Amino acid sequence: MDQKTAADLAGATYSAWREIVDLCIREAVDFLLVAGDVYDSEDQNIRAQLQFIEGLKRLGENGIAAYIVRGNHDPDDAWSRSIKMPENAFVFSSQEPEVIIHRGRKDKPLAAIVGMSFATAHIMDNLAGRFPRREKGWPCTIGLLHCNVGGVPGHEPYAPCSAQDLRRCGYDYWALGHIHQPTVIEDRDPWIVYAGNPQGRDLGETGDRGCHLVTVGANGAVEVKTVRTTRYLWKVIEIDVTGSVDLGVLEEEIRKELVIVSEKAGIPVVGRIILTGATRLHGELVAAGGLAALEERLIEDPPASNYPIYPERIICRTVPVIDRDAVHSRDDILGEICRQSDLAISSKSGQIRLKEKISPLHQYARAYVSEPDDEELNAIIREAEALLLSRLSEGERE
Amino acid sequence: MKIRSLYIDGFGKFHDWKPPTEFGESLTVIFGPNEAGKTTLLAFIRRMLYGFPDGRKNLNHYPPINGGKIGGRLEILGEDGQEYILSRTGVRGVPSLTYAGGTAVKGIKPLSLLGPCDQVFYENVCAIGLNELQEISTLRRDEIRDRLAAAGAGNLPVREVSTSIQRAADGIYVIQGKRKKINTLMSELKDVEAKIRDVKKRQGEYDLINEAITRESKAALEEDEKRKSAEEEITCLKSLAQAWEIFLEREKYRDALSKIPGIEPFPAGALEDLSKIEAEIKWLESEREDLTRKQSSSKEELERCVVREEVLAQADNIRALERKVEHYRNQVDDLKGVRLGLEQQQASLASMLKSFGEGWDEERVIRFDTSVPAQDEAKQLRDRLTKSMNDCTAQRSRLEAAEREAAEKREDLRDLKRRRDDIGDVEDPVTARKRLSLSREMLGEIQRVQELEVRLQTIRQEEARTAEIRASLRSARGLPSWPGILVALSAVLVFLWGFFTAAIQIAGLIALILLVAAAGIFLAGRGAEGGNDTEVPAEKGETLAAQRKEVEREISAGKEKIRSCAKLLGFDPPHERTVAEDLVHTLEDAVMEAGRASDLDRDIARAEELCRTADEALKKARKAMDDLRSEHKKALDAWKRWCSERGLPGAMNPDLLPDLIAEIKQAAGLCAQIAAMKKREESLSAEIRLFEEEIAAVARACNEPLKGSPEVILEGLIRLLHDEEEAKRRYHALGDRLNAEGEALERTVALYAAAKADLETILKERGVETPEEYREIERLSRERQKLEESIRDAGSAIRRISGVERYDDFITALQGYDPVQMQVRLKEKENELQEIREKIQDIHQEIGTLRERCSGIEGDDELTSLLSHEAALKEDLSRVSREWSVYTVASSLLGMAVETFERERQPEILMEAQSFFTAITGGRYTRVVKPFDGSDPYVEEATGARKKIDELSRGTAEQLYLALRFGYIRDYATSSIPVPVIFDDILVNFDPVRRKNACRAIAELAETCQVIYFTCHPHAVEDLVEATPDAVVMDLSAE
Repeated sequence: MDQKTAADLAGATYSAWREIVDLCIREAVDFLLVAGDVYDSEDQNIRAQLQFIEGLKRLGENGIAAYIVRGNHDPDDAWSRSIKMPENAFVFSSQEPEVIIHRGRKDKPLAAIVGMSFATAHIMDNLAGRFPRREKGWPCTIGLLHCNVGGVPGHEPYAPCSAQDLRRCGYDYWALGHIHQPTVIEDRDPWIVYAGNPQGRDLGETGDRGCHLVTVGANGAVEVKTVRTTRYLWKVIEIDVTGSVDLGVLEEEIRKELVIVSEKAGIPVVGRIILTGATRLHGELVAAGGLAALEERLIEDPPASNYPIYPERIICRTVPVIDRDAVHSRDDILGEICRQSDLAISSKSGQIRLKEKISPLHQYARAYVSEPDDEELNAIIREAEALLLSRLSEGERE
Repeated sequence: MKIRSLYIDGFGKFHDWKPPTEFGESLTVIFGPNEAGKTTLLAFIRRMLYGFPDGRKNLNHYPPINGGKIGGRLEILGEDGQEYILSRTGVRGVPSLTYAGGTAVKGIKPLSLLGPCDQVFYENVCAIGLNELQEISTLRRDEIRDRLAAAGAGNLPVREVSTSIQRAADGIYVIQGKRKKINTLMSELKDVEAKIRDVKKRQGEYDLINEAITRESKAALEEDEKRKSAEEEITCLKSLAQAWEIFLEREKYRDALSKIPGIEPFPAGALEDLSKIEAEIKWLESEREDLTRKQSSSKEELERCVVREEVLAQADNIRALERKVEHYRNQVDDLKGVRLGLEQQQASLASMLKSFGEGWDEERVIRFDTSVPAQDEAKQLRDRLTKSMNDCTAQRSRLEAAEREAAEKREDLRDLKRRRDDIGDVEDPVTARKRLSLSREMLGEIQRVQELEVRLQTIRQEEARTAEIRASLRSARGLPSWPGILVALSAVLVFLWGFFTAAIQIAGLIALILLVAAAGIFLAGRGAEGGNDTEVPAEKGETLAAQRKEVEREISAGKEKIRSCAKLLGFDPPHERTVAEDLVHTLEDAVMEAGRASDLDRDIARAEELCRTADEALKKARKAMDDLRSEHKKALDAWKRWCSERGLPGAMNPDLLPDLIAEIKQAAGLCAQIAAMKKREESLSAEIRLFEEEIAAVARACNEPLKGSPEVILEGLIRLLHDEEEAKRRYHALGDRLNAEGEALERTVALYAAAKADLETILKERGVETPEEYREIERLSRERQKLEESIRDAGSAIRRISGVERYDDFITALQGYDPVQMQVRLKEKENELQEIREKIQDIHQEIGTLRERCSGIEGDDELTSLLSHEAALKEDLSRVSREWSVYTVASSLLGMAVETFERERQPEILMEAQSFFTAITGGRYTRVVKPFDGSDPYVEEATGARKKIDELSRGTAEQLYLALRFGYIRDYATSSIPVPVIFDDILVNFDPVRRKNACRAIAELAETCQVIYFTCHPHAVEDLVEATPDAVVMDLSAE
């Protein structure tokens, strides 16, 4: 990946935010809802805050309001004192839920927005439980909150609540923040929606990202449309290389597969390639520098396509072309390797012995690398076994 | 599992092929010379078992060159005793398994017949090629050790793989290691983390910087207020100082104005109008006087002007002469040139005539015939003369060459005859060769007779020896019988001893043996006495007598033949072989001399023929020379005749004639030119005379004297005509000018009177008498206006400084202004202002610095890329660590596997290998030992001496390698399903003894599993068949 593209990728989240603002202006929306975690306060990134403010100002210039709640990454106390919100932006209180009636032409009430911000990063209370029930006379009512509905794994359990807590309020729509993967928990009565983040940040956030364009009809019918804002699509690309016998041919096949992926994506793709399947190239790939050479060539000279595709790295999960059961039954060294690896996996003492072998590196780099758990160790043993079987079987003459 | 037979549909050279016999149960030897198809058959069996390789592989794919589709069948005898057929067709063809009857086999995979023996294992263990053995001789000692260790462990590259994995792991991380991949990554990661901390720290200062900017901005505003106040006061003081001088001037003007009386202002340009009228009057007076003077001068000039009419009357004639005068001058020059040229041509002609010699004048020159026919005739005569002369010269050379050739040929002939005379009279070659042949035949016969006589001598000696043997046989005696009696007596004594000592069984047995021995001795003695040994020498004697007679007959025939040859040669029969050999040598010399004489005779005949040819050529050359001389004389006579006809000397060189004719032509041309030039001279003289007479006539008509050359006279007439024409034009011009001057004088007098009247009017309007008085009152009026204007300007300047509103106060302040005191105060205020400005600048500089930091933070996009880089590095670190873990675990697994294998499996394999090694080395080595302590393996000799592997000779190392492979195979075959093993000519480099030993080892191995041995060496086939009598030999020679 060249330097310009790398810089572009690093600023892709800002681009996605600008894309949202452009969409609001293009669609002449009534208002924009922001459900927290605009930036990560741990980084104290002033540029991110300024980019956000600049977008809000553009919305203000076009008569569009923005309603914002703070999340665990950007709580009230984490924003810069020097950066002021423009007049068209309303930030909900972190003390109690607030209700704002958004009015349209001729002061006609269009929507009631109920929201509450995080005061600090670690809010473990059920904030949804403090939200008021819908009152008579409120127009289309929207709840705006940063929370973890149902304790989604992989995310901190801040402001935990249940879908029932939300339904109880009798609102029409819940716009939620915190979970980065776009998720629709309920698709009616009420809509409960995580819009997700508008741009994946790394390979942990693959797939399309965007925002939701919500239209409420005169009869109160809610229509939700997902709009893509991703500039770069993070993708894990699994390629089955079963039967490959030539590294050059394999590279060509990978290139073809990458072109298909990029054409399908329709936008630039940053892809992690995972090679799978049984191949005679296993040994050459994992232990003879084949994988590194392949990775270097693909990164330095990515495949030509209408939409660029940037291979991030290649993970090799291939296995050698060997009938393990047959080998296992033999009395030779290969059979012994299979039996030893089975023994190492099945016995605690075998695992401890191998852990001791690999512990010096984990001790040396303990600040960055943690010791493998049992599952990971077993995977390592299996890979080591495959490597040995593959390399020792390289004597094949035909 | 065993292979019974096979069928090849198409593979390499084979098409629709089946071996003539079935494979053997134990050993099958496939024999054939190079290119018989052994390697093809070997590859077919391997590929039938494990598949045909993909077309992308760089291998010999053995495409069917004689038709058929690649593939075929293997007829297999399974371990279960069932007969199967394994079929495979096409490169990607799936193998199919059926029973011998064609029924499909269900539930058994085709390759399961081979048990756990996959392709790699099969190649490593069950197939041994000659290359593997030959490679051993190219390896280093340590490599041989590794190779032998591998042979005893399934032929796996354990050491290479172990080293390579360890190297890969060491490249990532080593305890206490530096500059490894992990160190690099961690170092880079720490750098990035430090940078991230710096950037975050900067970002955290953003609010503090903004607050500082606000504080500084407020302080800057306060100082700015102070600056403005000070600047206003300084401006006021400077204004008073600036206006003070102007104010003083204003006061001075006001004082001067009060001293000038009031006068009506004069209109602009009043003085200019007065001056203009005065100047006009003065100019008109002067003009009037000039006109009067000019008029009188013109009258006088008109009276002086006179014109000559007779000259003007000849104007046309004079102009006509003027036009022709240039032509006249040219003609005079031409005449001079013609005369000069004429003189030069006449001198040249005289010189040429003189060079021609006596008797040549203009007339002869003109008459001489220089026409083209005359020149051609002269050229023909010259060419004929030249040609005849050249022909004579060439022929003379040829004649000399012919004379030399004839002389040389005669000399050669003489030389050959002299050499032939030296040889003298000899036989002809045919006769000489016949005699030589007879002499050689006689010599051969003499040699044969001598050999027969030697043989006759031998036979006679043999007959004498046979007679002696017969005589000695007749005198020989039989064997004695007393040893038999003694042995029989001993048997009786032993039997009696056993009877009395209760050891009857042992004693009976010994007595029986002794009795048998006694019987044998008796029988031997009788046989020697009763045999007819004299019969054999008698038969031999008869044979020798017959042979002797035959030899004697051959000797007699040979001698007869020798006599016959000697008679034909005219000699007595030689008794000695050397005499016959000398005769052969003499006749060989005679054959050579006869050959030489015959060759010389042929050369002499050829030389005589050449002499005759040379003489004839010489005669022809002499005749041709005479003809050419005659022709030359005729050509010379013709030339002399031609010269005398034209008055030229007969001895003249013909080559000089073209030059003479050219000169005569040139002289004739000169004569013609001289005549033309004389004619031109006369014509020019006549024209010149006529023109000079016309000039004289015109001069007389103009009353001009005829002095000087005609050309000078004509020039005088032309000048005179120009003068008179000019005088005529001047007379008319003077008349016109006199009239115009009169009219101008009248107009000037009228204008003068009008100007005087205007002056009087202006003076009266201001009440003055003279123009000077008028000018003085105008000056006073102007000065008053100027003072009033200066006072107004000063007022305006003060107003600009003070401003309109403060003008009156400003004037009042100026009226009480003290310049010295005011300067001191201004200085104080300026110092105060400077201090304020410096302070403001400092504040703005501080704000600038803070804003710069602020915008640096706002535009800082380094953090995002640093975080990305940090994440990438952490992932790299994690990946590399995992790689290292895999390598390290792999190393451990391999170490444990090898250790277990060596402890549990290898001893049995070594036992098997040891048995084979002992057999192959003929018992020299009795043990193969691999110590458990991990030290190097060694072998032990029958004597107990030990040798390390790397102390073995290359050949023994090869045999140990083979023994280890055999051991591994037999161990595998006894513990698992035995599969057919393939050996490709592995015994080529063994000496005959060890080859036989190895064949016995193979025979022993073949008892465990089927062995298929490919070879092109017949002795290997013989040894294998000898070791395994039931081996099947398949001969591919006919294929």
